Formats: sequence, C-alpha cells, structure tokens
Amino acid sequence: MSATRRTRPAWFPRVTLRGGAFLIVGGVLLAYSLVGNRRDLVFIACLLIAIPLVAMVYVTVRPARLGVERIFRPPIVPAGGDTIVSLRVRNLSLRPLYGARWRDGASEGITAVAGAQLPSLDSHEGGPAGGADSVILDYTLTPRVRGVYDVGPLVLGRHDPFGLAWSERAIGTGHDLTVTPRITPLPGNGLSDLSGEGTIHELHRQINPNSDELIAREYRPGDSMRRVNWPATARHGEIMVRQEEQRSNPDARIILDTTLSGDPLYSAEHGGERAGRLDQAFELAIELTASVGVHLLDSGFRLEVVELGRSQFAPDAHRERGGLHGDSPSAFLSLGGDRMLLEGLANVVPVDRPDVDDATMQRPRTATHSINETMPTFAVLVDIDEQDAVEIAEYRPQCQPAVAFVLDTMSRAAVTRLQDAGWRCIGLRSPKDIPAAWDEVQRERGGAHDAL
Amino acid sequence: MPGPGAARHPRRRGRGRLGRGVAQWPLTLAALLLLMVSSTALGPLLRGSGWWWAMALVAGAVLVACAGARALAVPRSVVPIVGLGVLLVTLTLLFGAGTGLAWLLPTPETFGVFGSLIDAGGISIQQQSTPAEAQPGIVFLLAMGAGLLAVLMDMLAITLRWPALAGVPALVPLSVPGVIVEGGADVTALVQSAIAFLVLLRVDVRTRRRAEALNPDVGRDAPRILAPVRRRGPGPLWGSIVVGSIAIVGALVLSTIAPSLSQVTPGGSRVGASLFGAGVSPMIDLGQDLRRPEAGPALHYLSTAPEPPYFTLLTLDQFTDGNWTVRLGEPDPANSVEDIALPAGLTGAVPTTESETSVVIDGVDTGWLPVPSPAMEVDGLSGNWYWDQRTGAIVGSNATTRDQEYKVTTLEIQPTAEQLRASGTTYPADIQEQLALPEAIPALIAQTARDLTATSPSAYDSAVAIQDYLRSSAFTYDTEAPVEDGYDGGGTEVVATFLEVKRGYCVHFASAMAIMARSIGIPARVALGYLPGTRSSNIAEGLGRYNVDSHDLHSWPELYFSGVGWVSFEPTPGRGSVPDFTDPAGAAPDAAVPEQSAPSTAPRANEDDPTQDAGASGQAESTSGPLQTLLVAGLVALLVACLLLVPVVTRRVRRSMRFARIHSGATTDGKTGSGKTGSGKTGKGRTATGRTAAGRTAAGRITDAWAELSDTAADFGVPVRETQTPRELAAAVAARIGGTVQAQAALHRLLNICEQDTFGRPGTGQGIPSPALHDDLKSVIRSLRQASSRKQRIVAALAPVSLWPWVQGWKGERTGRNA
Repeated sequence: MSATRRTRPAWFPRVTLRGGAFLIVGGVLLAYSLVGNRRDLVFIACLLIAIPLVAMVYVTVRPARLGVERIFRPPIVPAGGDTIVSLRVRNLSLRPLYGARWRDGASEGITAVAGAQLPSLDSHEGGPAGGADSVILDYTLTPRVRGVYDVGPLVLGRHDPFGLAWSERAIGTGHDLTVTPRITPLPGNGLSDLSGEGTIHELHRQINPNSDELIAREYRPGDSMRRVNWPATARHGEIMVRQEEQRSNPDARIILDTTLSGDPLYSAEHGGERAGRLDQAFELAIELTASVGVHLLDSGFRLEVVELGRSQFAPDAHRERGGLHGDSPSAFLSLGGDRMLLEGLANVVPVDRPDVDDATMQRPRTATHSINETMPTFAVLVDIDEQDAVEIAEYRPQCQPAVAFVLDTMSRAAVTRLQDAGWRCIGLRSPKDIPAAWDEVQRERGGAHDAL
Repeated sequence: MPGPGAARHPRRRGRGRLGRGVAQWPLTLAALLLLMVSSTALGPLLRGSGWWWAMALVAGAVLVACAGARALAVPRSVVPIVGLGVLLVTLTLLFGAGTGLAWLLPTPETFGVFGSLIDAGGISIQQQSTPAEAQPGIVFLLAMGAGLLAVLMDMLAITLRWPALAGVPALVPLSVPGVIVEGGADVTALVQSAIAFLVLLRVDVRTRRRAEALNPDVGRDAPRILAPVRRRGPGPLWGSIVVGSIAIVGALVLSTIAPSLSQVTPGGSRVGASLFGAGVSPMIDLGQDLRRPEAGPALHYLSTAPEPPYFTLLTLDQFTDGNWTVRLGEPDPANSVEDIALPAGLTGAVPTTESETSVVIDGVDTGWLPVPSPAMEVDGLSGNWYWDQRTGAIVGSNATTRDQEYKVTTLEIQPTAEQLRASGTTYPADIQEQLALPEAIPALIAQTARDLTATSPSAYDSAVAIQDYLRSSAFTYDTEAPVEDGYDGGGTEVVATFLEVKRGYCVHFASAMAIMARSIGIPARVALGYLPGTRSSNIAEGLGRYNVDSHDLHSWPELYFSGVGWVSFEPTPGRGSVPDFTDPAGAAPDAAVPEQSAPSTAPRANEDDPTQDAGASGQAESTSGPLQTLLVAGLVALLVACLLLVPVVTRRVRRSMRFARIHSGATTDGKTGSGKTGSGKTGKGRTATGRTAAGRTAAGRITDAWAELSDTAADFGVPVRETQTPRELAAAVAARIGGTVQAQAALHRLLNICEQDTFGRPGTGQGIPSPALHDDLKSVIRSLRQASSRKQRIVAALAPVSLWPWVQGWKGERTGRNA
C-alpha cells in the first residue's frame, strides 16, 4: 500500500501538439493585442486559448464507462509462445463513445499492443453483449521471458472532437498472465530405467502387514479382475480391488539452486535487468528444471522439488530455510502436476540464502520423511558455494541415482567435491545442450545401473 | 479489405491515401467555407457585395482545382502549381477584358491589363475612405488575394496536413479591418470565422480517423478489431457543438472584458474614441464622456507654467438652432502652427508670461489639438495642422491627435482686475458678432443676468457677479440630472431650465454664463477642453508630470474685454480653478503668485458647500479606475474561492448527513433502550426485541458508516476500488493508519459490523449501538487524518477524490509479479 503519488495523475488531461500550439499562439496574440490594442485580435487570441482549455475539461469531465472482459488464449503460455489477448469492450454509458484510442497496459518486461483506434460504440443497449455497443479487440502477445505479468488494464485515451486535448484513463484492472519457462522435449520416456527404483521403494513400504486393508478400494467398472483383492472382498462383503496406482507413481527429486550462493557479490535484490551471465545461467537452470520435470511427470513420476532457498513454489512462513534444512519439498503429481510445476517455475527468482543462524531455524521442521528417502535425484546447480556443496555432497546417500547438472558458472571446486561424493556431474552451457545432457544421463544411468 | 500490397506497406499506403489520389473533398469544402466566411469581415470596408462574390468565385475555383488535381493523382508538390495556374486562368477570365486566348489563357496584353488594374486598385485604396467603392482595381486585388490565400490554405490544410495552420491565411482578411477602421472586424464575422475554423478542424479529425480505420495496421502484432457492423453516425456532434460554443462564448466574454484591461495597459487606451463624434453636439458628447463610469487617460504633460494650464480643444462661438456650435474657416496652409498670431484684442499693457508645455497624448483621438490657450507655437506634431484665425483652435487636416507628442509655447495673460475693470464696451466688428443671441431666448436668462448685474459698475464686475452666482451654493454639480430630466446640452432652452433646476455640469454653467454675458452686452463664447488634471504621485512616471483623463473634460466661458482679449472664467462649482483676476478683492497685485489658488485644491475648497458631493464624486471618479480594477479582481477572486469551496462544502455536507443518519439511529436507540451508556453488550441485548424497522435503519447506518469510511480513505489517497471487499479496504486503511492500537481496534470493529451486515443473515447488524459506530468511525477518520501527510490532508480537504469516483478509477498501482 504505497502512498506515493505521481506528480500528475494518469487521467490528467494533456494537450496535443495542436492544442499546445493553440495555447502558445493564443498567449502571444493576446499579449500583442492588449499592448497593441487590437480588439478583434483579442477575440481570436481568447478563442485560441479557450478552445484547448474547454477541450481539456471536455475530455476530463465526461468519463467513458466501459466494461472490459479480458481473456488470454491460452491462459498459460510458454516463453516465446503466442497468446491471444482478447478484450471484449462494452459501452456501459448512455452516451455513445467516439474518438477514443486504446492501448493495453502491461507490467515491465512485456510489450503489449501499441495504440489503436477504438471504433465508435453506441450507447449501452442492455441485453446480451455483441450489439453495436460492444467490440472485441484481439491482439497477439508474445512474451519472451518467463514470469507472471500483469497485463492490462485497458487504457482508453479520449480526444476531444477537434483533436486538441486528450486524457487517458485505465479501465478495469489488469490480469495475470503466466509465462512458463520454455520446455525442451527430452528423448526417451525415462520410465524404463528409473521406474525400478520407485517400484522397489513402494514394495518396501507395502511390507506393512495392514497395507492390504489400507489400499483396498471398492470395485469400479473397468477394473481388471486380476486386481480383485480377495481377502478384502471377503471381509467387506463386496468386491474390493487392490489400489495399485502408487506402484505407477515412482518418486523423483529435483534439487534446484535458487540462491546462487557461489557468487557473494550477486544480490537477489538488485532486480531490474537480468542480463548478467549468472542470470542467464539461472534462466537456463529454470529451463532445464522445467524440461526434466515435465519429462519425469509425463513419464509418470511423482516429482519433488527441493529449493535451496526459501520455498517459492508454495510460499509459507514455515518454509523459509531451504529444502536441505528441513523444509518440506514441493510435490507434483503426475496428473496435472506439469502445469503446476511450470506455473511455479514461472515465478521463481534467485533469492538470498536463508541465514542458518536465523530464528527461523529454531522452528520445528516441516519436512516429512520423504526428504530422507532414497530416490532418483537431479540437482540443477548454477553456482553453489562451499557450504551448499558440502550439504549436497552429504545428501548423496538419499539420492539413487544422483545426477547433478552443473552449469558452466559453477566453481571447479564445488564440482569436484560433488564428484568426489559420488554425484554424476553433467555440464551444460546453453539451452541447446539440454537434450544432449539428458542423453548422457540415460547413457550413464544405464551404466550405473549395471554397476549397482 | 487491404490487399497483399497494402499488407506489405501498410504505412506507405496510409500516407498515400491522405496525399495522392484522393480529392479530400470534405477538407476542401471546409477550407473554402473558412475563406469565404472570413472574407466577409471586409464588409465594413467596402460597399456592395460584388467584391465578395468575386473573391468566393476565385477561391472556390482554386480550391476545387486543387482537389481535382489531387483526385487525378497529381504529385503533391505539383498541386499548388495547378492552383496558381487556375488562379491565373480565372483572373484572366474575370478581369482580362477579353485579352486572353479564348478568354482564358493570359497573354502579355492580359498582364498589361492586370498591371493597370493593380495600379488603379492601389490608388483607389489610398484615395477612398471607408466604406470604399469597390472599383474594379480593388476587386481585382481582392480576388487575387483570395486566390493566393486559397492556394496557401490548400497547401497547408491538405497537402501538408496542418489544417490548424490554415487559420493563418484566414486571419489576413480578418485582421485587415482592424488596421483600417476603428474597432476592427465585425464580431459576427469573427464568430462565424471561428465556427468555420472549428468545422475545418473537426473535418480534419474525422478524415484522419476514417483514413486510419480504413487502413488498419496489419502486422503480426497489430490488434484485430472485431466491431459490429454499425451505421455511420454523425460522430460526436453534440460534443463538438458544446466544446465549440463554450469556447466561442468564453472568448467573446473575455474579449469584451479585455478593453478594461487595455486601459490599464500603458498606451493601450482608446477612451477618447467617441470624443466629439460626427453629427452630435460637442457639448452632449462631452457630457457622455464625463458620465462614462471609468476614466481613461487622455494625455499627460510637463509644464513650466506656474499653474497647470487648462487645455483648450475647441471654441464654440455661434448659435445654430439655439445651440452653441463651432464655426471654422477654411484651412489656411499659411496658418502654420509654428507661428501663431497673438490672440485678438491683447494689448501690450497686459502682463504676459511665456510657458512651455510638453504634451504626450494617451487616449485622445480627435481632430482638435488640446493646447494650453492661447498657444503661440506648437512643435513636434506629425501631420498637417493649422490654427484657426478666429478662435485660435488648432485643427488637424487629415490628422488626428492619436499618439502625438508635442511642445506648446503658451502666452499666459495675467491681467489685473483694474485693467479688466477699465476696459471699455466698444468692440471690433468681428467681436461684435459674439454678442449675437437667438431671437427666441427665454426671458428668464436675461432677467437673471440683469438682476445679478444691476449694481455692477463695469462689465468685469458683472462677469464676476455672474460667476459668483453660478458658483454659489444654490447650484449643484451633477452630471446625471440633466440627462434624467431631459435638458442636456448647452442650448438656450436648456440653460433656462438649468437656471430653474440649478443642477447641471460644466456645459450648463459655461453656457449659462456665456449666454448671460452676451445678454448684458459682453462678448462671450464657450471653450471645450480639459482641466489641468492631477499631479502624478507615481515616482516612476515622474513627480512633475500631470495626468489628464477623460473625466477632466471640461467647458468654460471666455469673455472678451477690450484691451485684454478673451479671458477665461470658471463658473462651474467644484471644478477647475477660479482665475485670479476674477477675484476683485485684491488679487490683482498678487496675480502672479501661484500659491493663491492651486488648481488641485480648488475643488476641495468647496467641501463645506452643499455642493461637496460634487467634489467628492469628482474625487471618486478620479480614483475609480484602480478601485474598480481592485473591486473586479476581488469579485473574481471571491468567485474563484466560492467555486473552489464547492467540493469542500459538498463533501462536508455529505459527511455530516451520514453522521446525522448514524446519529438519528442513536436517538432511536436511546428512546427504546434503557441505558445510554450503551456499550456493545447492551446493544446486543436489545437485538432480541427484533424490530424490523430498526433493523433496516441499522443496516442503513452501517452502510452509511462504511461508505463514509471508504470515501474518507479515498480522500486521503488510500487506493480504493469499487471491487474491493470490505476486508481489503480495511487492510489498506490499517496499513495507512499504522500503529495506533485504539484506531486499529475501532477499524476492526467497524469491519466486523460491516461484514456481518453485508454477508450475514439479514438483520444481524441491527443491534449495533449507534454511539459506538459513531465513535469508532470518528476515531478511524481521525487517525487516518493524523497518519496522512500534510499534502494529502490538503487534497482531502479541498479536492476530495470521493466526489469524483471516475477520477479515482484505477490508480495506476502496479503490483508487478504478484503471483
């Protein structure tokens, strides 16, 4: 709730070039006519001054009342993709609307449409939209960079009939457009190699003797007869089936470096332009995370994302200290999880590493047991410092297999430490390297599996 | 639908539409209308209307030809040349007198005809006075001018697309009358031209919009507009009319106010404009000038004379139809103002002194030169001036006093009372004429004169007696009464009425004295001119300077005494100064002592008289200029202040009405409830009574309270949106008021009440006691005010945003990445 005020509010009427020229010429003429005592010129001078002023009042005191509906098609767009912004504008006033121009406001980093004419709209007709009082304005928006953008509100510029003054007024409010990271399709389905881990894991869990009870559910049309859980059926008196979905939901984990702690000079707060080398690397990391994550989710994995910084996927007062320090990871299910993952990634920005000595560390950990479970882990590392490297290296036992995608911004020492701890480090430099890196994972996975 | 070519070059095609290949008929017609209307402003200068038709014809031909050339896709740069060619052809057809090939194409002979027409036109413009006969030469010049203006206008408005600049050529015919005649162009013509200009602007805006609508941007990022097919309306006709008419009326009002400004402006006055207009008696004109509410500067001067002099403009010395009139001889070039003859009848025995007066004319504009009389020499005049043999008046021949600066050498006659008393009653023949009186002179005048002078030993004593009588308390100076009672002027009948009513102004006093003097055999005449004016108190102007304004216009009688000549008297009470020599008690030896009667003190000397109101009014008149300006400025300031206060008052009234409604609920509660100590609990206890009417008022109270809170928040710049929930608004307010626990608690209570009322079951909020509501609201408003900056408080007080909800709108607060 900032109370800052602009020097001139947006609705303040402005004169056009013509109007300004009128005012200046009128002023000069008035001075001349008063000094030179030319009464006829006084009238002309007064007229030249009066018209722009009246026009300014005109554009100010007659507000247009418009209803605006804004639709994005599609509502979520990958970076570099197109979305059509569709505005249905309807005149709610009893006066027709003439001589207006429109443009769409947008937050920084995105270019909405330039100004264009708004066709004349009749006075409000009532009834369903689509009459002469409404118009549909479409334009294509191609956001280049991921993020969540505020698109809108519609800014309506009104001119007076003589083109002397205009004022702009925002109508309605902006809507958020989520621009997700770009996704590189990855080769292979990833399931064959990695599912084994998950299966083993699930079986371990189902050793629990009462698990039959817990996982049985009533029969639904379409269930295979092979899945009927006979003991449970006997107990319940109706046909029960084994709930086997969990078996097809192997887990995988992605560790995302959001703190960039390796570069002490890098400050998350510097905001603004994100064009530095580290920023580009971070964008690559996001893109890689999105690609791998979506690939895994498509392959049927349940995905956990561990952030090194405070959680940005599910901001919460209890998730302030980073995934490795006890915060529970954000989980995404195979079904619909890809969209949540991408929306979450759209928002992720580099953050400062939580202070370990901070009071937040004293709070009880929210992490469930899963952080300590062993599952396939992909670390996406931009630039981590010694401490993070140690922590990740120590985390190695919970990661099977443990693959670290190290960007070229990583320090040599950190990579070495990880390698020493048993992490497979795959370097990459640009988005073009993503498929190759994934190929390498699969190849090495194969080899590693043999080794196991 | 734009074709593929257009898709590749959307811009070029757009420009092409405006430039080549399209005639732009609406703009052409609007420009033609403007030119034709503005040329009617020349109407006062010329007789008939044929010249206007010639101008319209030529201008129309040129503009239509340009539009036609454009339609034929002639290159932009060639269009003006086409226009000029058509102008030449049209002129050849109309004025070439058949010298052109096939009447159309000019030949060398045609140019010869044109040349002679131009010469003839120039000569007739110089020779004729307005309104002039529209001779062929003048018509040719006008038509040619109109054609050139049309070419220029077409180039500016259509080729270069600066239609606003097309008003500049239209200004030419509008400003010509201002150079030639007084007052400039007719207001009607100005207003009509303004309308035509606005039509041109409107047509331009419309043309541009249509061109843009027909050529939409077709790039990938360009917006696609799916508008319903709609009929073509007249556009914002009503808006155009409103804006245009308000602007024109405003400009009219301003320009009529402006002359009062121009009086303040140095050198910008024309108050003397109506001075001694044609056909009306100069005396009545003088009265009108005196009655004018605001005085304008007439002239200012520096004088070496011991006493500031009277300025004589003209002398009325004969009767026509019972009225004083001027008689002038033929202008005699030999009577150069550099050497003026001695005044008639002056002999060497009378002491005289020469003085010099440097005069600068401010506002007087007339053919008579104001000079201290009798003038011996005038230097520095521009134009032809000569002095009149009989009266000594200095008259311009085709010259006016406007902006003149000159130096007058005056012979000041200082006769003694003895000399005057000793003068005989034999007069030369030409002076004898000044004894003539109309035959039908009312008896009262002669009777009064005889009664007054019965005991006078000499003509001089008679004159003094008449002057004393007129200056006595029986007479009242009054510029209005003669007009109201219908005896204005200086004729014999009027003087008779004046002597009965005894109210009048200088004209009446002067005329009465002159007629009475003639009736008893003293040659007399009436002089018109200016009083010496007031000494400047403005250091910037110079302390020795005297300023004469239009209220110093005056008339006085001059009587002839043998051996002395014409001698001025001052019979008007409260005006001017009584000449020393007219005080027979013994002023004679001291005649030259200036301190005896400083003219500026003379009016004040009468302050004990019943005529003092005249003096007072004179004083008031002299100060009325700045006073009036102050008054007008004060009134305007008051008006502006009132206008500024309207929002303040509206907001206050709205707030107090809301509080009153909240409070009225409180009194109802007070009546029904037992304890007025009313905290929340007792109020809730009363809920059980469950009166639906009370419930309704309670809901109204809560709505009012919340509306007031919302409005106040908006006033203090807290972002308030229509779509906000009460809780969001409360959060915004809480963020603003910060840490004051009490106010936060009050705000919270208000929010709860409001939410209960809005979202709860109907009637849940009815038990809220009004005093609590009232106090909470007050407390929140108070802390909002405290938490706001000084500027916000001022804005909230003077320009409460809540009165203009549309202004508020979306306050431009971007939340950025707010997912």
